[in-house]
Amino acid sequence: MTRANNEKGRYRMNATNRHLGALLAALAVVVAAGPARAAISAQCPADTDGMDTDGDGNAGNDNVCRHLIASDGYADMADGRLLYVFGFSEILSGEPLDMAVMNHTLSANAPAPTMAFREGQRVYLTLSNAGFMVRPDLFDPHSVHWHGFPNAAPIFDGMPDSTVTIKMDASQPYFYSVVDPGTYLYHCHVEATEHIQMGMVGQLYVQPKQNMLPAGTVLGSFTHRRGQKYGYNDGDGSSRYDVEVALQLDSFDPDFHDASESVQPLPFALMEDRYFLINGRGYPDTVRRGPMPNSFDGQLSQKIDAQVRARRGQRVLLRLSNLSVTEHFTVTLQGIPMHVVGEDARLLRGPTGLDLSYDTTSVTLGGGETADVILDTTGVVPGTYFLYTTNLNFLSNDAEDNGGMMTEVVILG
Amino acid sequence: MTKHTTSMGGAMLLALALASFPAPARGAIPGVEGPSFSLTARAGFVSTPEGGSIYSWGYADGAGLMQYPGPSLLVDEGDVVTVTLSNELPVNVSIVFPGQQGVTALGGVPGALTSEVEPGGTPVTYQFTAARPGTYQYFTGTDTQLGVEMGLVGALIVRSATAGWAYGHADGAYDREFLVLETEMDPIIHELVETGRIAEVDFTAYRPVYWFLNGRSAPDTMVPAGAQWFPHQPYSCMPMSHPGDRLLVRLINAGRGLHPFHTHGQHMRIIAQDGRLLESAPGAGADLSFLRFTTTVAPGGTEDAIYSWTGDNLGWDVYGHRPGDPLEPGEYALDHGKPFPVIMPDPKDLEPGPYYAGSPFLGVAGYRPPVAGTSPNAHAGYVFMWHSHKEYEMVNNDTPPGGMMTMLIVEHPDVPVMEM
Amino acid sequence: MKKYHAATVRSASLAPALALLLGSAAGCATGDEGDPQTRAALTSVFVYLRAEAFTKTMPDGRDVVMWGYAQDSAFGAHDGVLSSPGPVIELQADTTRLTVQLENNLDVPTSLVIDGLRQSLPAVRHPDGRVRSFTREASPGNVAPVTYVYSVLRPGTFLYKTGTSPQVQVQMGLLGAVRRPSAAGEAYAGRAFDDELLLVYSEVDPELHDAVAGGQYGPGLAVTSTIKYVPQYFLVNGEDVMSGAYDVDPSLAGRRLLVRFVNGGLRSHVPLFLQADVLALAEDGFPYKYPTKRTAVLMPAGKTADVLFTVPASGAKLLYDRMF
Ligand SMILES: [Cu+2]
Ligand SMILES: [Cu+2]
Repeated sequence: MTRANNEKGRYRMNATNRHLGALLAALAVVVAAGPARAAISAQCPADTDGMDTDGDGNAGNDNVCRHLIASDGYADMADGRLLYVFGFSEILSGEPLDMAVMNHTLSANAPAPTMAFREGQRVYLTLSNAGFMVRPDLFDPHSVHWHGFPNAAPIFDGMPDSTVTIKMDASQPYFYSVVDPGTYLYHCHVEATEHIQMGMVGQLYVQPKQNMLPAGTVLGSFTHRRGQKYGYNDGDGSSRYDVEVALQLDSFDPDFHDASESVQPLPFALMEDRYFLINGRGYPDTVRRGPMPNSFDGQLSQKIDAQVRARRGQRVLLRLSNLSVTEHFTVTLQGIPMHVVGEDARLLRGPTGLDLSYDTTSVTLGGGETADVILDTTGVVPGTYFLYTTNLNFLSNDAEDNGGMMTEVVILG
Repeated sequence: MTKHTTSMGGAMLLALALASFPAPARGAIPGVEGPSFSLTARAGFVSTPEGGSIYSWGYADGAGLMQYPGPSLLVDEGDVVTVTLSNELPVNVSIVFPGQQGVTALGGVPGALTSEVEPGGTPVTYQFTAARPGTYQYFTGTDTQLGVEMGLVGALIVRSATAGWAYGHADGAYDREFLVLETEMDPIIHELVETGRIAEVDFTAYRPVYWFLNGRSAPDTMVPAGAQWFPHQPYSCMPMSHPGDRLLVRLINAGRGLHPFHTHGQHMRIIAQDGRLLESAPGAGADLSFLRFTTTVAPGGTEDAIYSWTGDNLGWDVYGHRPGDPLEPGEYALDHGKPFPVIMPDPKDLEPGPYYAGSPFLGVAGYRPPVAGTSPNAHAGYVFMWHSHKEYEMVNNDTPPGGMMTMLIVEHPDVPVMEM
Repeated sequence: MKKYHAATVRSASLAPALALLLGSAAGCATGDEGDPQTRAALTSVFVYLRAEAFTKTMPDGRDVVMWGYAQDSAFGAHDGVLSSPGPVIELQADTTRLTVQLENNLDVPTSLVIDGLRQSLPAVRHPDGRVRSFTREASPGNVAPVTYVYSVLRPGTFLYKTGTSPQVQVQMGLLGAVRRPSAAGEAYAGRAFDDELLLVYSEVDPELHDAVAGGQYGPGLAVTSTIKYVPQYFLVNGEDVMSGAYDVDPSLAGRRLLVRFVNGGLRSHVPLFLQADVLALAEDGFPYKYPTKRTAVLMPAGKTADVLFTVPASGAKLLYDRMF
């Protein structure tokens, strides 16, 4: 009964050699693949049913098409260490599909592109598989698992044991009729422990139809005004917000990523995450605004910062989720209490209508759990506040102190 | 890396199960009927999917084999429950019953939490009135840290006076019930105990690498209850359903870690915690219940969840009906006859999973490439994974997939549901 | 205010006496603003905290350098006793203002925050722009007190802790509890209690303590981050007893016992009740709209929880940590 130990005594290339090797492998595959790689396709039917299912007044725009492509790539940790990752990037409409695999070489985003939809939309999501440039020895299929989607059918659930998943150089359509607002998350479910640890994770949420009400609609004691947004169809304005920020907690084990990159046995039993991330970044990269180029080839692989900005008096909706494969995380916001209005994509309201929302100082999320938190900044002194994990030893970027799972909330006057 | 061998292994075991076990109409959670129990703490070996075996301690039903977890104690609301505990282990043991009040202990020697039985000592008899229906656990109250790790845990189920209700209210009504009891093990500790080196056990270096549901790691979770090749692990964890069935999931965290338990396919409605209906006032029903797609039960705690997959509101007909076809029982009528919304790719571009029956539709088998083999999902049910979303717990000591995971099968309404 | 070595039940009937003590303490204090003599004595609480290192001998004989707090009678008086957790900051139902004056006898800057209270936070940053302290710091050996004023108070149980490099300083021991009833003998509106138990959880990684105390923690030194935190001592109210249980004596049968939990550790803990289930009243000093019954109380890092139950005839046991 000795536990496997793939770490000790394992030959480790130094970073330069390792990444150079990766680049050479990547080039070799691109050359070898050539123009034969063209089996990338997408299905995007027009909305012709004549019904306005998303309530925006337009009966012809309810079908929404998105196109993800799975590949590998690189992401920088906040201590400067470059990690090999698996992930998704997005093929934007108008991009030439016959060039997509080439154009998305090593383009994995960490985290994946955010999927935000409106209740009533019908989502046609295409997943293409570009393969791994650094690991041409692998032929992994991939999937999209829309985690928490109610009444899922296996064909669009992405759980590989009970459905089909897409092989390299091919494309698979997914369909979701989006009827339940809230904060979900998504990830690849193939070889789930490995692919999620390697970074195939993203944010996903659905905005409610209540946003589309005509101005002046009375919701209990609250009157809807134009542009007012809500977390849920609450009927009373209790989940209303002015600013929406999605923060996904995650963590990486660099030894696992290095083992993957250098074709070593993967340390599952010894997995121990040492980078603690919000939207794929450790502090202070969390507050570095806008997309971040990686230090490998300059691709903008970490596109989503984690800074929260609001004006005093505004209500902020934090869409919190956790996709760590090893840790529960507890996060707090020093100086500003949290009001939890939703959990796991459901308004906190009992079956007979009792209000189960609650105030708290911190929220604890395990992998695959989400919470919708309202910050009421009324009376908050303008300045910078800190959102961080109370698992304080995770305020580290591995061996570097003053980092990890922290970001800043800036309240402007 | 593509390595489906382990889950295929599970699939084959399931196929065996489907072939050789007749299906009773409506199963209950297997266990030992009360209200009087005679348990013996003794040692045995827990089997792991890759063929290992771990020296463990557990509670046995009388003269029976050590069990992991201990026998599920089944009693009725209002029963006066007596549990007589004997001890064949080299250390003192006892039993505590969180959620029960007025527990008395007769015999044995005094301990920190309750009376204990010394090795080979005179038994202790614990007695209490099972005053409230609900899902509870029991475990050793003696050196709980080591005892729980070694396996001295089990489920206590107090059935409501109303058959088919988990609690004294229709909000707890269910069609089928299942136990989901979470534990984990660090084999290094077990090895030290087995070789008489208890003094060297260091929990600061605690590192579990096996993760269990009802005492088995996946894919063994899907082997039928009572299978002879798991003499110490008699319980499976294999939920089965028809569309619209209300499944009562009795979740117990009998281990020491936090496990975010995720049910594919549908939310769970959490109706009770620690054996207490989530009600604002007695008789109000589960008016404080809430929905979760992933739930973390506190170690030592329990939750009762109602899970019901209906297939509503998907925007296409999951049965693949044409508009003129008759409705299935409970089918979501607004989607009836709506076509499948996309064109599936050429099968050569797709990797079929072992439970994929070859079509997107419930109860409809379709094309499976010959290389993929025969699916154990013989009736083309919808198969949903239930698992810890701390995904490194879906591993059996360095080998994925496995660990804290099982599959729910939702069968077509015409297909009888097997009981595992 | 008193230092809590052992976990002991405190009768609610003691509260008035304590209030008097607090009143006199406030009366002789000097504050940051105005003349304290002109303030209503019972609505304002002054606390003088001193952060300083001390050595604690663990049950296995190992001496561990801890950072803790002492409560002095005045700034610089040095008549308080150091402990970790620090002294309980006791507020009364009518306390509207808490002033803490901090003396720093450590060799690094430190500060004080109270989790869960609205607070404006003038952060202090490292030269590279990263935050070092969530709020104003007291520099080592400060000759003038650094003052923290809290004027938005509510009933409940709270965690106070250092706001400076909390990943280092909290695990060194700079933490403590604040409690405020809603009325004498009442935790929250309508939640009366007869007796009260306050349990503060924390953890100690002696290797990390040695590195920090021995000048071996920091960039380029032996230990550069807290990533390898491995606690070996698990403290409840400062004593290494988390593996055990608290005995709620049958002599308390019929009395309403309020248990206030504070997790100052970096990991989750789960107190578990036997022979009783308890009403979960509040978390982080926020009362639940619909309290529910529990036997296991999940206490994530930094969380506080208040539970209430009537002690049954058998008494009850409280396993400090089912995750231990
Ligand atoms: Cu994948
Ligand atoms: Cu998931």
